[in-house]
Amino acid sequence: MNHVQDTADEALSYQLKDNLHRIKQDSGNSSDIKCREVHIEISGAASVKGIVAYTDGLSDSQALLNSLMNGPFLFEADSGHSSSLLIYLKDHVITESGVTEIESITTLFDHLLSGDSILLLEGSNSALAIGTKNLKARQVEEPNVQAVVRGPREGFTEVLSWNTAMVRRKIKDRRLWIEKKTIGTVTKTEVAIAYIDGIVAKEILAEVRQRLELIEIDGVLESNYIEEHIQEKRFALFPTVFNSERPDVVAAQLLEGRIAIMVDGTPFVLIVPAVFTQFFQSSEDYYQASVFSSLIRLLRILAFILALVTPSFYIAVTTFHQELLPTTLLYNLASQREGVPFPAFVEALMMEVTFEILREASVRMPRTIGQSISIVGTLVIGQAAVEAGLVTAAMVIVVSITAIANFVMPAFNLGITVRIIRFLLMALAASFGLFGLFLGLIVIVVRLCSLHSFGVPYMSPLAPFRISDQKDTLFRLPLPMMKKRPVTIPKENNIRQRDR
Amino acid sequence: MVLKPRTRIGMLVVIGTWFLTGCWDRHELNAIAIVVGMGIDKVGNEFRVSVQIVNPREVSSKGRGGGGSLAPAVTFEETGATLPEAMRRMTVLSPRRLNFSHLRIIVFGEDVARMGIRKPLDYISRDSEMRNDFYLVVAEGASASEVLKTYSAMDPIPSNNLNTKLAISDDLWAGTGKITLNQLLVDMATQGKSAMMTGIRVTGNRKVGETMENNRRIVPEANLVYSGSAVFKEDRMIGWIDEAETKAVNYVQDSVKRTLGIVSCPDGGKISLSVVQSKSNIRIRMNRDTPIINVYLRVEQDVSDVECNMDMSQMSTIDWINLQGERKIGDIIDKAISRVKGQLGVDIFGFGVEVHRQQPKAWHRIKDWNEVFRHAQVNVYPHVITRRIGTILQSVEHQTKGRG
Amino acid sequence: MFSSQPITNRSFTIMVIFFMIGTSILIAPNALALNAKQDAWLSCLLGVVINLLLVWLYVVLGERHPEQTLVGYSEKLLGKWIGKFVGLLFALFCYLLASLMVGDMGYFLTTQALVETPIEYLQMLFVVSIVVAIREGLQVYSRVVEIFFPWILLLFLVLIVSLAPQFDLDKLKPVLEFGMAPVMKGSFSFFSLQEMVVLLMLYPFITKGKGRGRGFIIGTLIGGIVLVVTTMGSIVVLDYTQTANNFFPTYVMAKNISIGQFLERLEGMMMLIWILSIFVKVAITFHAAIIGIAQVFRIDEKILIWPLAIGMIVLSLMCYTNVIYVQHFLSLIWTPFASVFMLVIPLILLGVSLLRKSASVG
Repeated sequence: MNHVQDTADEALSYQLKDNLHRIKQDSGNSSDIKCREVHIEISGAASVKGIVAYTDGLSDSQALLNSLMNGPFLFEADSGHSSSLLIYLKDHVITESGVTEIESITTLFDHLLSGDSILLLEGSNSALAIGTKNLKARQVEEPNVQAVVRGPREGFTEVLSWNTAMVRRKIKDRRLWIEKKTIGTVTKTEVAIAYIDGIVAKEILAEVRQRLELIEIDGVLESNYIEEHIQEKRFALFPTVFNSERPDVVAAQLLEGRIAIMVDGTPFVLIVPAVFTQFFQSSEDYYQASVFSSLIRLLRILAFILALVTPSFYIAVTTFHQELLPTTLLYNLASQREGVPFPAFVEALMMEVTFEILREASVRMPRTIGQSISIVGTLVIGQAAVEAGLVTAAMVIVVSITAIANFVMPAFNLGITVRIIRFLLMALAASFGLFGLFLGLIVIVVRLCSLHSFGVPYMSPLAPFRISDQKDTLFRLPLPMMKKRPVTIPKENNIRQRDR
Repeated sequence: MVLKPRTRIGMLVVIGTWFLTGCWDRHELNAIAIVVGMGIDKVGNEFRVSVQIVNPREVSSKGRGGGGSLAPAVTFEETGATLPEAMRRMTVLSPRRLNFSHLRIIVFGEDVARMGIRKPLDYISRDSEMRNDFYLVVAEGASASEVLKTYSAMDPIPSNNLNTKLAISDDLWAGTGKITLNQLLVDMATQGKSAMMTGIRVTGNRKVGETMENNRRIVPEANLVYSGSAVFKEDRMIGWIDEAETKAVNYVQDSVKRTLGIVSCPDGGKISLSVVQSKSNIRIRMNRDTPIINVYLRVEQDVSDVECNMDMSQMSTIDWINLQGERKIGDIIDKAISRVKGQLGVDIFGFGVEVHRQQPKAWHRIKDWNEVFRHAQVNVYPHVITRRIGTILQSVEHQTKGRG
Repeated sequence: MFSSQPITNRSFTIMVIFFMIGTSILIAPNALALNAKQDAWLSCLLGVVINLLLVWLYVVLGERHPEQTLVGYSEKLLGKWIGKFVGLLFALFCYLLASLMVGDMGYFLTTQALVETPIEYLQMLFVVSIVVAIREGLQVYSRVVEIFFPWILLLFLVLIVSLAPQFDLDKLKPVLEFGMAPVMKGSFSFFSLQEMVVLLMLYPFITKGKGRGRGFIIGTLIGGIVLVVTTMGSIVVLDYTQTANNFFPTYVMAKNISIGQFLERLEGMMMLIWILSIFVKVAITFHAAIIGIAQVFRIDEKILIWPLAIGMIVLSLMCYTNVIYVQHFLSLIWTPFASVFMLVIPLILLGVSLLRKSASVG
């Protein structure tokens, strides 16, 4: 993508013709930029020629045109100046709520291309941008990725203003502050930083602002564009920025003192600072009984460990440490392996890669064909490969357990990390057995501990260990017991519930 | 030291190649032979080692080999001046690399046991693949290889069969003794206790026993039977003790879990008593330099059957049964001790260990414990309690006779 | 940012526990049983008490110079050249210790688990992971130990509980059969295996205050309890004869676990415990050596890491010709040698420090 240079900012001309020409020229006569000539009739004076410019499909200028054509207006044309007519129209005629006065070509385009209608008058070097945005966007739907059994069924959409509205609906307090800025020299994407004043820590907020300020990019099409710019380590395998498409999650995180970064055009909202244990938590944990939620969290951690080490552990034990297998199981596995041509590592690699291909295919395939993919996957790859003696049935079980465990994690991006690390561990286990696996895990923990997310240690509250935060880390204690907000995230005000 | 990305990638490549050359210890499951049984015999000056290997295809529940056409286990034999040599030489016989981590049983031939088992034990305890969960037994009247060649009923792998058989009989019958490597080594290293190993016999037609025909019969032609124990002086076997004597040793050593005993009724019938719990306590008193050994036994038993006409509803009957039980147990142990003292002359009961633990000073004055043991006074004080008498009160005999 | 932020007392305590468990959990019961037979656990207990006294000495010394490492204040107290010399000796002691432990690790693996893999490769892999940890800095691996701690505790408890059915406490009798002499001899060779003095190199980086010294002592105590329990377990499961004759009795002990027919063959857990604890111990010791050398020569720590790490492998291969040599070395030479650094140098430093104090007061 070429970096398009901004055309020099110029003031509007007094000549309507010049301005019209300018709009046509700068937009390359784009067919979706419509310019409609209007004559504004004034009682007792000649009508003034004007132009209403709008982008086809982004704005609904019907009401605007209605009101403009509603003349003649009782405008005292004594001054005779078009600019005062513009002010008059703004104050008395136009019924739309958002009206801005603009004076330069650049701002004109900014408004025009985001859906406003522009009213230009002959003889005036300023124009009005009228908020006639009419977004054709996806309605609020149930979140796709982060679904819950019990809990709100609304998810963010692609429209930033709707998204902020959804958060606002959860937190009706004036201390919920939303800052807006535009990132992307070409796309001019709106980005909102939401936080709760009085809870959020000022230094983290300043850090977020500064990191966003430093982004110099032509386009922001998804929040990941922002995420990759603001995370600490470029090649960090583990996600240090949390994302969610659920307003309730964002609201809960804001209440804990975190900061949400909402990007126009994507339902995925970034939340910082993120800690490791957060990726094991789902909003539903708070909507179900605490005992159940605690068990589910432990289950997720178990699934995480399973997804991480099952294939490598299997390789290590069956090819290096047969003494660790129960005797009957060993007979069983050994009999399955009779005649299998590949070493266990290659076998595991093959099956894992096959699974990854299947998974990728089922994501990219049109929904209607998705079914057949899974049939091909299970029948052909699973059963046929075993019957043909290419892989052992045990390996198929191992790979399936791994795959299923991988999808237990509520955070999808952590799952990706796990998949990558799994292959590394498999290689280590295949060359050094359990020793390699153990060292690999140690190094992973070292890397995890070295990560920070906006100054917050990634592994906290496990390391550094904070006893008060354990109420809501691996376990979730009943809500009445959580009187304080977690101390892991620095904040100004820690009291969640007052003692009665 | 900050590394440039290029250096980092270079290091990754180096480490990557290093992985590829790796895998020294990697042995795929279809490249190892799982050794489940090992037999050691003496041939002239050399050891003849037999190893029993599982043929996994025939054993697993979903074998693809057609079920039962091939032998479930294979036994190879090889001789060598030392055990490791024989093992290494085995590579010319075995198509796969031997893996000993799932060994279930080691059988010593009687001749090798009589000549001393120190030498083979060294390799067995030194090798890192060997664990401590297999049992060691001595073949009685047969060579170890004959034992490992005999087909076994139910469990297709003879070594597995031997292992579970020993574990179950040790648990329920007490006429055998399961001994593991660690225990054997400790017994051999301890002065106050001589080692003991259960004996295994091949019964019936050995020729048929070596064919699969043996497994096709409802009553196997040949079978492997545990009987009695071999007694060792240091590392040499010096004789056998029978089942009752083995049971006596187990009583004294507090390793009876459950067993069964029979006492006679006054009218000539029999009562079976099943021991459910037994606790022994050995107390040593010193009389000058000779120890007086008191064995206190507390046995809990259930009545298993009553084959005579007794009124079981009377307290006195139960007392009488208890008394008979005590007499019986005391009798078994006394007999065993006097025979061991007289004929074998070694302390397989572990009294010496107790002397050592309870009278360390006196122990240090003892030069040869076995000598002292032969003259030591051993008193056995069994105390028997009857807990349950089963689901019915009076014996069937009592009921039917009462009617007539 | 290299070792600049203070370490919390909690993670320091855990580091001390790991350091105490370190290599000892696997090899100490063997040496103890050789000397003290069935009283090995008493010997271990006594050794822990000696260690506690030593740690108390270190705490007193460390608190007198709360801002400096041992190398730092030896230079301050003994004058520039003698101080630098002593500091360098001490750093080299740490370095030697670290490479000996790398050798221990390699020998354990090639004896028990990975018999055919060349020891060099195992040690290389190990040292590379150590380097990864050290390069992240003290702050990071002090957090790493916090993550490991619950796991190691859990594994240890599972190990002990599942061995409990096999405990034969009679094997501990007769107590003190040969009097105190062998027990003391055993504890004498035992206390030098913990080398707690190394932690004085990290002492200034810990959050200052009372908790620091207390953490040092409590950590030693908890680690000591773990060692006593392990030694005792090894004796009551294996008997002292087998404990004394196995190089890695604790590993053999773990092989004995058998509960029902399913909970067995768990020695992999013991391996994990040991790899975790030796990882932390080598990382700390190696880091101490690097800090020491860097302070003596006033150079950047990061430059030293890779060359010294590679040197560590070479040194360990040189020191470890075979197991007997090392056993011999440990039983005869190591204790007096290590005592110089564990007792004599700290005592001298404390003495000089006290004298200077009274001189300046008087």
